Amino acid sequence: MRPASQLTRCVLLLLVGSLLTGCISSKAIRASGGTAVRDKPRVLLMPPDVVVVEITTAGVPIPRADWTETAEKVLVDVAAQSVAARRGELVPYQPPENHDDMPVDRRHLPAIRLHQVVLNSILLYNYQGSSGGGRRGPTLVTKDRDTLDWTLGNTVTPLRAAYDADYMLFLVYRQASSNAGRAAVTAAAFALFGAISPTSQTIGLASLVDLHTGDVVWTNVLKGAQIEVGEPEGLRKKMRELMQDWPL
Amino acid sequence: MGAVQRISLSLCVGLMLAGCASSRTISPGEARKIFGDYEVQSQAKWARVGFRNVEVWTVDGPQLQQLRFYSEMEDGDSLFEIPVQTVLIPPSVIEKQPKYHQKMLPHDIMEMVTATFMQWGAVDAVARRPQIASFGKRDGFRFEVAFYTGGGVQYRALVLGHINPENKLFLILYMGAEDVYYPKFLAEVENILKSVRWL
Amino acid sequence: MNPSRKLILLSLVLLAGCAYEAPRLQPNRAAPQHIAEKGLWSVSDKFEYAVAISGRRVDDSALRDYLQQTSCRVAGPFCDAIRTYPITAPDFNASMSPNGFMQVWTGLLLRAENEAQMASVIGHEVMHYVERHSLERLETTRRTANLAMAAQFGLLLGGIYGVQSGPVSINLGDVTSLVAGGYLASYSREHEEQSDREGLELIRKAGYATAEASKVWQNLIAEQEECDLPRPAALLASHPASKNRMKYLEQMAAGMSGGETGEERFLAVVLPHRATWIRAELAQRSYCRIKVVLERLLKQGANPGELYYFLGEVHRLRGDEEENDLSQAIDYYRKAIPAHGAPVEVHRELGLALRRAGRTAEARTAWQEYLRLSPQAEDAAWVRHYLEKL
Repeated sequence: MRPASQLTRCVLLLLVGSLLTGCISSKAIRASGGTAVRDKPRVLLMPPDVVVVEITTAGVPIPRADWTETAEKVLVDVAAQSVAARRGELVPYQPPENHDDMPVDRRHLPAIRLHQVVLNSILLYNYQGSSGGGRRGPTLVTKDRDTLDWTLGNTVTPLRAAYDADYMLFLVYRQASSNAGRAAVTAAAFALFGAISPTSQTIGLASLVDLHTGDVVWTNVLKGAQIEVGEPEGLRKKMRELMQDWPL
Repeated sequence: MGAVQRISLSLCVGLMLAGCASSRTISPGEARKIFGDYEVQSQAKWARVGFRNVEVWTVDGPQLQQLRFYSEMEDGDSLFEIPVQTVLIPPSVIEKQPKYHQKMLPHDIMEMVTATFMQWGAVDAVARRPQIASFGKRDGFRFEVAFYTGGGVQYRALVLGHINPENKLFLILYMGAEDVYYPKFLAEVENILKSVRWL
Repeated sequence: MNPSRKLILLSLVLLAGCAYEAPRLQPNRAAPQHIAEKGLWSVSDKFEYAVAISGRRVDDSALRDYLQQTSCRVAGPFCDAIRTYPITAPDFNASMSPNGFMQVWTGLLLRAENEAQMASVIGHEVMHYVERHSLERLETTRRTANLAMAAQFGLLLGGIYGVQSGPVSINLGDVTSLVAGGYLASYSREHEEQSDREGLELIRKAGYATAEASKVWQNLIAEQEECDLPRPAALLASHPASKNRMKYLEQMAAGMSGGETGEERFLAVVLPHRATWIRAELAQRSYCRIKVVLERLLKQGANPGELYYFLGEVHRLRGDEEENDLSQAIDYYRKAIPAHGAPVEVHRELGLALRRAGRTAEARTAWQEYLRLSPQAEDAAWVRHYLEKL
């Protein structure tokens, strides 16, 4: 328990700003050099990473498979429509046959793993502290906050070869939804312990990688308060926001 | 749970390193004095982050590549950076950091570096290619380390060191993701290593 | 008292009230029906994916197959539901996620003496799965107002920003790993005891020597006591006082007889990895603990040269922290040299220890011996340089 609370403190320090932001906001960023858009692009969709959790009145988080499934379906749907609008095709990643051993083809691991670190750096240097909260994000004099200058290099080659695709798309979505009684409890928790437990929270991440160059050509981060999972239309609207301004 | 503690430690350390509010510029061609002991010359533009006992340069962020300069390490010093302002690291963790000892030889330094990486969360850290090398025209040594991060990214590190007649350790350490980010500045780093000039 | 202590206390008080009990799982059941359980499985699946592609999962098919086969033998009809992965991490630990995803730490494999000991931990973890302890914990928590959990979860939901931020840090800090990996796996005292007892029954049925189960705890207690650990080691942290636990396992086993330890099979798989795992423990600089483990393994007898070598390393790396460290290191290296399994580097390390102790003539002999035995060594130039400077 203690180590976990130490971790929490650490994360708390960094997140307090972003958690306190009220409404939904999104911020899309494109690669510095612009993107050569290909006609009828084939876009490889990497396994979406979606988790939706319900926060009960008492403050207990219950992971919800049904909501997660709905959110993932809508998210993939919206992505497919965005690709279709460019007469392209969204191709889902196929796990290898021997799924029990390693859920992805080992040749694809370097790109998938490097993407995690690169995406983290992007969050840190292009997004952190960019919306409210008063805490300014870290900066690198070697990087421009408003454009993307990151690549996965030739780690993407095996993926391009396997799928004959032009791009690959990573989608991450986290949501905690709470019911009405929750707000009062949050206030009480804050008064008692000085801990902040947000009533609800949504974070969506999307990143698009050019498989010909390995460059990250577009990212979007969606964050803010509650989205009603019970209303697929509302959810769809928000997901569209996540996909807006994408370069294809 | 020791491991979780270490994980959260490295998370915190990483964040503090990466999250340091601002960085300063190392301009191409600039001769930079490292703690007043030696001078190095860069050809590329770097971002510099300062700590009490180490100077860190990076271009794409410390998660992807970083160049660390240590100077005059004495008995009991560790490679662990002490951020200018922090309260988060418990003393028990700092105590267990591998520490320099004035009777150390290059093999001991190699062990200290790999063990430090492993405490930071590196998996299967293996040192290789030990060589005799020059550190600003003085006797020095160099070696490489290969390891995986917890996330599975293959990393490489290059270390150049020198122990002076007063048994103080000087170390330059370059590390980064083996794909793209380490090779991207390897030639530049080799030039920086050659440019070391004692003050 | 710091806030997190307050939270823990409060949650303990609140949890004491009403415990939820779920009927145990049946073999070959397809998917969970219960809404909270579905959620737990779904999030565990994501967690399993993240761990499976992470750098901590040991990507060694022989070791993985061995763990999987042993899990199958222990789990019996639940074999198909359990997936066991070796995870690179020092320290003694194993964990079970609600969906049957099990992690066994390399620090556990290093400390176990035979297959039966490893199987007893696996059996324990399998019973957490079969008895649906995660679900019970979640439901019990839901029925009480556990603010502590809420605060932690709430914050960590945002944790995707913190994931993997160090140059070398593990992918943690996301709600996925928290839910599935360990947070809900901090089971209650009753859960631990139930898993102990039923787990023991599992390994008996599987034909293992049940007396080995209590030895696991006995060994951990020794490590703890010898080294004055401020907190109990990982698995021991859950409540049945370790001595109590050791006793009831011992008593239960006394009523059962027969069974194999599977020591030979275990060592055949584990020995090739042992040096790597010991190095990982040494890097943590918990010298006392690794020394206790090494001395115990030495009594067991396999590859004594390797164990003497690392005992020497413990003392050499500790250097001058305690008196006589260097001379003890030198003694251990000298014991290692004629014994089976010592690496050739023992001569180099012996030289390093001797030089540091100021015994230069002996250091010279040791390094010359290293160069004689390993003339093509990558580090020969360094050692020759040391010889020149002596």
